[in-house]
Amino acid sequence: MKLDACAYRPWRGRLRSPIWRFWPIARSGLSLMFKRKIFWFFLLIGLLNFLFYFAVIYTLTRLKAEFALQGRKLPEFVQRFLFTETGDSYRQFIYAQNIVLMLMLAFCGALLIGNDFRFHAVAFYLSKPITRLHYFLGKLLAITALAALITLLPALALFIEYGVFTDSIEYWMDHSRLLFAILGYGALVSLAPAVVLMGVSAWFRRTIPIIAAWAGLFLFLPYVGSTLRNFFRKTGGGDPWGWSLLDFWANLRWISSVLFGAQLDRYEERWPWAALVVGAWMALAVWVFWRRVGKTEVVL
Amino acid sequence: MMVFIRAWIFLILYSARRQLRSRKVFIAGGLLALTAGLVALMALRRGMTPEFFGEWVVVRLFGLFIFPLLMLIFGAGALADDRDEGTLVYLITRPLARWGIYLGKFLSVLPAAALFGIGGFWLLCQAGRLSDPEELQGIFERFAAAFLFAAPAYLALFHFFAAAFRHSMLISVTYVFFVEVFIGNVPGILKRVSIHFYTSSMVYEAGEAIGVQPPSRIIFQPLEGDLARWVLLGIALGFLLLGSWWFNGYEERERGV
Amino acid sequence: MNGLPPISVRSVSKWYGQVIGLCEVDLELAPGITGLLGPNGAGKSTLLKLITGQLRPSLGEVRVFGKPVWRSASARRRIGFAPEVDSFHEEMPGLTFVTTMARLSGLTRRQARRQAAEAVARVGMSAHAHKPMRACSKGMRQRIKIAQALAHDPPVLILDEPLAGIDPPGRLELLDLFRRLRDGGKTLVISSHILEEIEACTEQIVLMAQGRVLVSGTVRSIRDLMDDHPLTVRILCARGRELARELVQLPAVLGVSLARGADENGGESELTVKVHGPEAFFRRFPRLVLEKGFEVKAFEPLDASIAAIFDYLITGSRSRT
Repeated sequence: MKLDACAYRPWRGRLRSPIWRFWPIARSGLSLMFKRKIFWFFLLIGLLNFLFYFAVIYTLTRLKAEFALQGRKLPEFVQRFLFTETGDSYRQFIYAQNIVLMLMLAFCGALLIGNDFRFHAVAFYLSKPITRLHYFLGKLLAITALAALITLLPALALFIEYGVFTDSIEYWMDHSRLLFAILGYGALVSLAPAVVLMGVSAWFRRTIPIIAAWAGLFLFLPYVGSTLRNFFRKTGGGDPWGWSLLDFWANLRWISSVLFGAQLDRYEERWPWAALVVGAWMALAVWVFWRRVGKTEVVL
Repeated sequence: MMVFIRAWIFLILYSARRQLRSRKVFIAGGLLALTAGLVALMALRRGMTPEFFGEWVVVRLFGLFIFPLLMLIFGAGALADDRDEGTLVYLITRPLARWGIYLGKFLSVLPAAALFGIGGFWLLCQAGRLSDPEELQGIFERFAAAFLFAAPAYLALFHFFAAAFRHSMLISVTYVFFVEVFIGNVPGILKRVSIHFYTSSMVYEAGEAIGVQPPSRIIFQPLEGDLARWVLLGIALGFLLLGSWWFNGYEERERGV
Repeated sequence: MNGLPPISVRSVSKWYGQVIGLCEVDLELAPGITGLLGPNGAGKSTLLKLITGQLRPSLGEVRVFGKPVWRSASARRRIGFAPEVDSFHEEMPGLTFVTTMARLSGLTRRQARRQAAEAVARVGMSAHAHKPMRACSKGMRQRIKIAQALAHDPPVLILDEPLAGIDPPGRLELLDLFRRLRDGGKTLVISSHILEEIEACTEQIVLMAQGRVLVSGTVRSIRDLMDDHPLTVRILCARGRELARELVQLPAVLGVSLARGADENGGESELTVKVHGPEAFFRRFPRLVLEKGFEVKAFEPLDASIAAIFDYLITGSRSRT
């Protein structure tokens, strides 16, 4: 019997370039996450902070307008309040998301990568005409996009909000550097932990060890770093800031000083060290991931 | 009846053995080794006073972070491991009452929790004494009771999470951060929802004689040690009963993360 | 056991939220092998989970030797269950796993060791008993699953897809084991998608679809109930044209087809007869053969197999809903 008679038809559409082969992996990863209630729970927690900042911006701009009408200036402490139009505010917002981001990513890692290794699904992927790189990029894109949902995108929304509540587009024009800084820091905060997560998930595979190791890395090490730094500051004088390099989030924040051009951070000149540490973590994670995927047996 | 008791005792023993042979042991051991190294480093470089040890190592580093994390690793894992592996079906089709499985699993984590929780605390105390053993004489005996009482409370809570939620480990980590670390340190009485508050109350009472005090009594307002002890016991018992009741109606439906 | 039925399912319904998993199921299973058949989503797994006490019925009750299995640990003591899910303590050797499960069933250490070794031998795994589960093939894992169900020597065995992943010689071995267990007085419930497997070891079947038991009984009795379904019979005989002529006179016969070219050189012909109301036909046909002196070499119902019944009933149940 001819294949046509069995209702088989050759693909008549246009095939995309091979480089796009990572896209279905990313898309299926995203749809898998969106189907999980617990993901929405974390997303909601992540967006609570956004709603709070959103309300603060609204209140501040209203107050500013009211005070301007009365020919008065906002009190100094209000102007220095939690969220103003400065770059440091957006940076602070993204930094404040780190705990929820850590928890959400722990879940993503267990579901999107750990399960692939545990239930031997990696072999299914690699039995298709894709390489390790496509698999890596697909998963990375999915995780980064999810992370961006609670970091980069809300920060951009706040930036837009601030501009909308002013009388002209001057705010955006005057602070155009902020837009790129938000994009840069948001992308960094979404991408760097996602890469590390891929290594951790590929190494540990099972949910409980992944979450334990992940929490250790992103909660325990920062805690150790701050304890040591405080201890040596109190007992020896000076500021042994090097201990804070154990804190992944602090490293990312230091790197962001360059993007924002912020002067408020006392340690901005230390960003090259921070970049080195973050780069080392990411390189280690990629190496682990690469080796793990390489060990997957594909019988063709 | 003997058959069921025999099966139940075996469940406890075999689960305890599995706990001690799991990969979690390496994670917990690594965590403790790193912490002990940290404390040893601090002790050797600058020396260790009882006040500093009490506040920074016992209350903050160990009590607030390491201890809950260790209890979480073992407490949430007892049932979650079987759920995760898909082997719970073999347990619930055996002649064991569901509440018996729940209690048995709880008892099975006690050795590992004691080894890593209390043993880990002993290790930190030894690390703290490296510079001047006399300075921290009797420090373990002084504070160990707080962790002895806190351990069942944490374990019962995380064990309940494992019975009640499919993503128990994640819920537990979320709990540790938001309730123990965040709410447990806010001013006012809200912090009393955290187990760490009662552990710290016991630590502060035990450490009063050697100068271990909360940074601000107005903000912290510790309870009396006796009361804290009873509350910790109540939490342990309450969550054990609640979990037993809950798990008694547990139905094995499907697997998956 | 005091004449109580090994498994009794009384008006059991089970729903998951808005979804009905099982609807008003009544069953009483006697010792012997019962095949549980049905397409995916028919409710087989739900039924097995209810029988093994993994699920609580939303309505009704499941009893094992008279005891409600959901509440009674002693009822579960009498059940051995091999789940479909392929989960083990991967680091454990097969024998250790089976021994562990036997001990969890309340056996002493010595009993558990002895009976586990016996069970492992019965499923043909002695040679690989010390291999860690993670190193075992699918077929080996399947055998270990069956061994752990057998180890505490329960009178009731519930086996969910027990032959999946086992090679043909292994299947024959296990089917033989099931038959021996049946002969030893045990009650076996075997769920399978492969009809021939069930047919090879039992006559007793339960057919399920859409959360209901469509029919239960022996293959033959079920077939007899289906009088409205035409039966096809193959007859091999000499004088085929003549027999065909006689057959079409019978009221139960709907049609006869004769293999082309037969009879012409005095050989045998093959007739395919479509019959409506098989019982009447089976009563009349021998008389006809004797009266007219036909020499019948073979007489074989073509679609009385489980597969045909299964297809017919499932199709019927779909068209009715």
